[in-house]
Amino acid sequence: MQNPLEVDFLGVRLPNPVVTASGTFNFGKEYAHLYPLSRLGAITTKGTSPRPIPGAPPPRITETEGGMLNAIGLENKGVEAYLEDELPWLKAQGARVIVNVFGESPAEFALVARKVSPYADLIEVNLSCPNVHAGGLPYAHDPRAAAGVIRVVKDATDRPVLAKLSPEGPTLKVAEALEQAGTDGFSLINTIRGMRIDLETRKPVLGHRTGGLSGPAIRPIAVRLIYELFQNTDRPILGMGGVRTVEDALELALAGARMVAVGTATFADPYAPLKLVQGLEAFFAGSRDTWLDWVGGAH
Amino acid sequence: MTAWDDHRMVLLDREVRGERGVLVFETPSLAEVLRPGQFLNLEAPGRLLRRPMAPAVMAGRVLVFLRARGPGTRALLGLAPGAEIRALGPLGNGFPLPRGRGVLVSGGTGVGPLLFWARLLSSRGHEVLFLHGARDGSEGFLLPYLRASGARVRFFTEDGSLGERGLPTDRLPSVLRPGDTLYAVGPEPMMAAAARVAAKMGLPAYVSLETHMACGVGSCLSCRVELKSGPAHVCRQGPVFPAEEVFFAEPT
Repeated sequence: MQNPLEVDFLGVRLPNPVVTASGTFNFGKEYAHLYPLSRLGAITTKGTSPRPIPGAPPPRITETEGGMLNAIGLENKGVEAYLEDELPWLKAQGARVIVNVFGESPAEFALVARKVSPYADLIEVNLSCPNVHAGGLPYAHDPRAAAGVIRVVKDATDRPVLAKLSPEGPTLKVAEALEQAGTDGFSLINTIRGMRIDLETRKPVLGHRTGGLSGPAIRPIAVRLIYELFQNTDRPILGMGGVRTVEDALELALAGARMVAVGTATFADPYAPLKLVQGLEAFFAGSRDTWLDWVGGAH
Repeated sequence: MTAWDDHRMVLLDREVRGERGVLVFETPSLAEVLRPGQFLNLEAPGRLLRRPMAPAVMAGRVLVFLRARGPGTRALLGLAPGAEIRALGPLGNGFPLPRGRGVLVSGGTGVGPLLFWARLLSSRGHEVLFLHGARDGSEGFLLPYLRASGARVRFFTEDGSLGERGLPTDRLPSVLRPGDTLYAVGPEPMMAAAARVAAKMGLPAYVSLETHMACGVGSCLSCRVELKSGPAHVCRQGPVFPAEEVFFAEPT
């Protein structure tokens, strides 16, 4: 019998559409004793840069109503460490792998993308990191700068490339420019910048002052942007933003997400991605529909 | 070491004194595998993220000592007996064994992991001295737990309303002797003071660090600290570290 959850995403065959969101699952090792990582549609790995980055001062996270703020500051061990210790291991688990890459310049993005390609089923380009050559404005807020990144990444890898979009800035204009630059697909949404201030110290709670808001609080924004992007592109979309339950995933599918990522929910429950797979299996077991019948169904 | 998992805990009993209290959980699967100094990432009712806390295991029960600091800890203290919550654990490294006598100094909720440690050490025949510092007598409800730990106990209050008056760390120079190993868990100024005394006397000392955490298991990278030997993540390399590794603020 046909697997109703099977998805073809840019030529990559996935047993289900459930993916981990970058930065919420590291490279998977922490969770591999709980369930086989190959049970998930794919693992998106922690954002990787050419060199190690120590990250932001503490505190790095704080909870908010219906969500959390994080300012990890892109801490990572650098691509060489992950090529040695993590990516070959992850591939050997039988997992489909989406490698999230970033850099300070287009050339750095391309360098990381080229190096990780042997282990990547897909490359996700984190365009929300600051463009240090443009006053720290994120690439994702600037259609021309973002397109410049995607162009060189496309040249550097033979793997399909997903551009990860920010919900801030001119999202749809950026998406249009990225499509012209050759991106194969999109992932969205990244977090939304926010701040909490401590009433006792009268200072921002986070060491970095601002942080990215994630969790259920941002899901309506994700649904809206996925819906709008779906009307503007025929490239496939990996949707994310506050997804935990079957209902959440189906809502993003209706908006236009062909795959969905679970992020913040994994911090609350490390089984959250697996439970979503199991929940979707149960949902479609009693249905004549398939997952793909739901994708874009709201349009 | 037992790999962590998500465990079910049932609240059997609780003792709440103002903003402080202890929750007593039945959770056999965890009680058997937790080691002193390790922590749990506890579900907080109605909240998104879990809360990292180092418990005690006494008589097969998991005891969580906590202070209401925000909506999450308040919700935990407000749980009614019979309530079920989830806990990730066992997490983190735990305390290393002492060379000779173990001298334990706690403040606030640091009493939990050190009670567990006192209990284990004394049951193995180690001599244990336990000093607990409280602001006032409202922490008197801890005394029966301290006495059940098997350690020799000295209880301090800053206002002298119960036990000895003063800070336990002020007594350390006269209490410590060669061969002792010091364990300090509590507010940072207290751990810093304990670390200074131990360093001066050339004694090994360990502290347990507390940071904001989301996952508790090594993936979110929220809990990074800079140690003298380099960076570490409290959830995986800690929470227990040699005191000499930690950068403490100078006393003011």
